[in-house]
Amino acid sequence: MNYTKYDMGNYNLYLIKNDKFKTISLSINFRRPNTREDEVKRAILTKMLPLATAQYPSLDKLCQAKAELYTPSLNLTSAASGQERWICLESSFVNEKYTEPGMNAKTLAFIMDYIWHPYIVADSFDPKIFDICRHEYIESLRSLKDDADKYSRERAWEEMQIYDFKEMLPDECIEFAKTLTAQDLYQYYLSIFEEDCLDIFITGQFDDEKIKTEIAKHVKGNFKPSYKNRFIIQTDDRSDIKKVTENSENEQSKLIIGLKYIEPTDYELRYVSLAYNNILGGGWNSKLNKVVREENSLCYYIFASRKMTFGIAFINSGIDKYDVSKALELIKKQMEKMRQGEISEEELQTVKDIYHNAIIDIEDNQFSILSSVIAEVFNGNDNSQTRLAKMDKVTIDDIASFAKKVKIDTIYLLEGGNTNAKENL
Amino acid sequence: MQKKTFNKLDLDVYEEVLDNGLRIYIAPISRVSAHVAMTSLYGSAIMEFKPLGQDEYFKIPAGTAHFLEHKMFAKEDGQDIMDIFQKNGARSNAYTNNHITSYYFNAPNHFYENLENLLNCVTIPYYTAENIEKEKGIIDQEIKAGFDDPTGLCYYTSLLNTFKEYPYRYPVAGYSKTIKNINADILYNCYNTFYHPANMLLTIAGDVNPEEVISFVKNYYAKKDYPPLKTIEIKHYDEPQEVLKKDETIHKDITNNIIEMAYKVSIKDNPLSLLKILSYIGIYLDIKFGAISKFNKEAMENKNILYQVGYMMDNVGDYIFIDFDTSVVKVDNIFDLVNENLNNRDFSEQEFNLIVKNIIKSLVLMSDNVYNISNTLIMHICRYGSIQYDIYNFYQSLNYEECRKLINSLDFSHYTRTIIAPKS
Repeated sequence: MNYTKYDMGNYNLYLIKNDKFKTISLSINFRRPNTREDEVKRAILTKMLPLATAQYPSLDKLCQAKAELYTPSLNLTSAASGQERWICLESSFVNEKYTEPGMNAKTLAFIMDYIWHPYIVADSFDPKIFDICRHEYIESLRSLKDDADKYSRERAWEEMQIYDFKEMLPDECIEFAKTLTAQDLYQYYLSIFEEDCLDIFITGQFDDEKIKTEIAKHVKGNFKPSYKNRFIIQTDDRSDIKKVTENSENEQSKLIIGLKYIEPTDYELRYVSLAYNNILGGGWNSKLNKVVREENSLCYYIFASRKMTFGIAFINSGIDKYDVSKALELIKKQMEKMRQGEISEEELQTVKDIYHNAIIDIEDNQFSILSSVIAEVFNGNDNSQTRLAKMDKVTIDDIASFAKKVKIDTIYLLEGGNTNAKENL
Repeated sequence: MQKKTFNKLDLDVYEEVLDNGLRIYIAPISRVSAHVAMTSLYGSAIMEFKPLGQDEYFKIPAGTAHFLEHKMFAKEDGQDIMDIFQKNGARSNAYTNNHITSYYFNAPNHFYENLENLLNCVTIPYYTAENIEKEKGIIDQEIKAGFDDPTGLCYYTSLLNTFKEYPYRYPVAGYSKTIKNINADILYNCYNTFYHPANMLLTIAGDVNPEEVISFVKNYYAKKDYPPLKTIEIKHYDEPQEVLKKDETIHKDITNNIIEMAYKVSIKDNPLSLLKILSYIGIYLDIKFGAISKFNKEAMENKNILYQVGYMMDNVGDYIFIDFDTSVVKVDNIFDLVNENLNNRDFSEQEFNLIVKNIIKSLVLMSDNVYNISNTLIMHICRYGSIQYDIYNFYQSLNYEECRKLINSLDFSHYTRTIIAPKS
């Protein structure tokens, strides 16, 4: 993907010209090394900022102003990647060519205000809005178990000990959130403009100079220099597989198997692990889907998901509790096949073809374009052509060799079938 | 082949109807990947009909349309439809809802190979006692996951209590006990009737040559014989305006209350077109419950309401089904808040115009994306019987006074309330 990088002094601006779409899309990224407390503060902050700005302190007025601008999409999130924690604002709006002259500048100003001109009352966020957002955050943690899929994934993650520091458990997050005040969070917000680095990515049809000037008008802060993300390298420090079972009154059990990639090479992590993941559990013709779902009818879904920057992956399935042992046996057997290199040339070629199409398909979606460039800049991903060439070189031996570095770390089971739930109404 | 144009949207559509009745809609657009869908106008809400060539009504279990969708991927010669898509690097899947069953792929290459595979998927049935039994285990797990989810349970309960007669009241996938009764005879009867080309649509959006595509599809069907299909007789139900059950609470091991409030609003004998009725009610809901509404602001400030109150609507026979859902710490007066706001009926022309402006924006964006184009074509046929090429001008012509008159004429007094409540 061709892009132009502009050094704007204390932040970087990346422009990706594209005339295929009727929209302009952007991604504003603040990053800093992850710590225990960042998760809670950033989670509440990203709930608060979209609710009020200095110009529009009430939600209905803010939304009406947004609608006057043809409702730009706006998504503000906090997430971790490797050893970093991000705040990311993604937005997309209709190019003024399809609405009214002057709309691009007006809409950009509106979007930037969410970050740079929030609603402040006497050197603090509005205590009322803060209280609402904190309450919502606490309730989302309290009710985590209501969503069995999400809860199981979170629990497996916790048990795996991904970071070299101890993450806050949900109860600890709740207690910590209770100690925060609107002033504390405002101080933390101000620290973002001193301690984070900032990179802005924009794609669409525009004049480079005009958009640079517009962005520069709004961005304020003394940001740290931008840097590459640091991945987490998992080490083999657990001799046994950790097995955790919890009960649930649901009918279906949720089985999550946490895998760690033990000290892979950079090439293995970026390319071989992708081929491994897709052949094992990536789609319809993956080994797990064929054997566990199609041949044995044990589940509706089973898939493997890779978290490259954390050096881990999960196998996820929803299963009847009486079939769990059988499913585990089948899963382990397929993983052993991967270690033994029992992979057909056809399986490998299919993965390469899917990868090829996924790369060329990026051009059809503005957010895919942005993600691709962001991954090049932050994660050191190769450009598209190099990625295709390197993936093409992956061999069955490479996968078998990598498979020996894939270790089952944790087996988590949310065991259902312990209820008299109202079956079938 | 006829060339039609979506006015003011820079989007052309080539239409063709084959001799067997298959309707083809092709929207050429410069994108890397093409989105192609084969859709049967057969959804889960059809549960009693006269099979092709038969005179008697045939009743089928809840979940049959969805079960049939699963089984269309099985082939006698062992050919694996999904495997072929995947080997071609195509994204593919299928879904069933109350109104349709649709099969699709999205891919940047191997277009004709994928298209042939898609056509094979929907034109070659193979149902055996063995492969049907095997599928029951898989679908049973899908159903269980749906009922385990408190939000899913709340929605299914709400539907069941809203309607007395319409099969719309049952979950798309059916129930564990109903799918047990599905057999090859049932599936073949449904297939022969509803997967007849005259009851299907092929929609394509992407960088394709319409003439070539139509020629390819004609050649494909030239090898196949279909008996003529006139109108499919589907059982008509007299659905009363009253809901079946006004209130239901189910206790489950959860933290907060999940609530659903569903309205059954009659549009029988209304002189306005369905398109107008749905547009005006949609605009009204956006004004009263959407982002710009006072209700949304007050809900955000109310610590008892944990999520923005979501809303959706659908046309079900003589009624519009309107559904609200959220999660609350205590049930308190949440139902009254929703009901009072819906029945308030007061809104300004400025609010009306603001929502219309944003509907038009969404329309412009629809024409930017192959997936959205294909889905819009399907939705227009399914809901209105034809593609609404003048939809841009239609939205611009919507009238505030007409909207007010319609909203004031609607009866919002028939509703059901469902609570999935914590056990303790």
